[in-house]
Amino acid sequence: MLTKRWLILVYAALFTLNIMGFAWMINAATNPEKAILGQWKEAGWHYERVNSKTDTLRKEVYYRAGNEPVVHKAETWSFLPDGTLVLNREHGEETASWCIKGRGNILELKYNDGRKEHYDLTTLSDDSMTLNFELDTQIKGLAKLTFDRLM
Amino acid sequence: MLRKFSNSRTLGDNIKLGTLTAFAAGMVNVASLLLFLSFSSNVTGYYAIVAAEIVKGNWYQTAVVFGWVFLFFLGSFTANFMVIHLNKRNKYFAHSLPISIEILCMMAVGLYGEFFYNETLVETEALLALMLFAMGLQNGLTASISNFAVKTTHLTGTTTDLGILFSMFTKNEFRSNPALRGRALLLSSITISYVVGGVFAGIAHFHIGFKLFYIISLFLVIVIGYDAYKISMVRYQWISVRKKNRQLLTDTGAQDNIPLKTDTSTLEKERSVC
Repeated sequence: MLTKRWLILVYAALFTLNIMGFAWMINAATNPEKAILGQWKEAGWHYERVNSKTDTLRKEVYYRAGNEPVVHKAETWSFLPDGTLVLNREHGEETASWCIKGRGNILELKYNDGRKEHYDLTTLSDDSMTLNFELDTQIKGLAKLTFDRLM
Repeated sequence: MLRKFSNSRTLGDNIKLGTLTAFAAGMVNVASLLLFLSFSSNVTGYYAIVAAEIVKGNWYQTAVVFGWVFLFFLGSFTANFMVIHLNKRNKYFAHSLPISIEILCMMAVGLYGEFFYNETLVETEALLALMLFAMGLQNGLTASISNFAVKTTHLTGTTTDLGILFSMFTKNEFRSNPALRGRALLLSSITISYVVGGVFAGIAHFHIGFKLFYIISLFLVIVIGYDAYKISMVRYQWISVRKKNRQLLTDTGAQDNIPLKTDTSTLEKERSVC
């Protein structure tokens, strides 16, 4: 039988161990908010979970996202530390604001017209990033964007 | 609702506690999903996510989710710790303290969200952590004081139990069992209340944003206020009876010879309340 003093010691030790484990893991890992900073070049836009890649299906994906066609093609995405995202397109430039939510797995983009896009941050390494376009919080993987880091 | 413990609780007590806290939990869960894109009241999925993130080697996400699960555990631990250690001194205080802390957490999320939130990841994770701790407190308290009959922050067990109960109701002997019917009523009330709370939060969040957490706090104030009102009413009745008896004795002028008459049922009520 554990005495009260021992019990307190065991509980305190377990608590401290948990806190230390948490602190160690957080410090050892890279914060996605910092890892995403920089310039990324779109490398591909892939469709998943569709039987045939027809235009009809593509259109459906675009329109269901938020009543507006959402197409990112051959863009350069620059994530700035102040939360600004600069999208460099062939015909100009667009700015939006970005933030990472959830457990560090959801990228939220807010455009100046109030439009919002959510992406599941599937991969984020030093040289590549994969975003899964989210149509709904529980449905993902319909469209996937891959990026290569420029700088 | 809060002042009774374990087997002395009636079905009505559990239904009142279950519906109000489930409504609050439904609101919290949907609010966190819409504002922070993560759940805050059901941890089952987080265990799977921890495992998945370990496999992927995403240590940051693993640590964050592990922290959230631990805080839910800590909330439940704290609630039951308060119940079992403070119960003998003052039952109502012991049972309302975890809800009071939950109200503070909700108010903190609401105030911070409304005035200071810059949508950084650290803020999002910290606010979610606070919500998970609050939900742990609520679930720990309701389960603890109701002898595990009322759990309101997630519906996995509730749905399982409802499935079992409704299959049991296909036999007449179970259908006519009042205890089983009562349990089905309790679980159905919790489920409906949780969903209604979620829908309400989903609609309200678009109009009031973080102010939603003040409404959640208000619901929790009702939970602790209801019992405070009941206790004060019983006390008031008891004092009135005593005053009446004293007046009667003074009028008859036999204060020393006639024993003091008291309403024993009121006294017993008073004792059970405190």
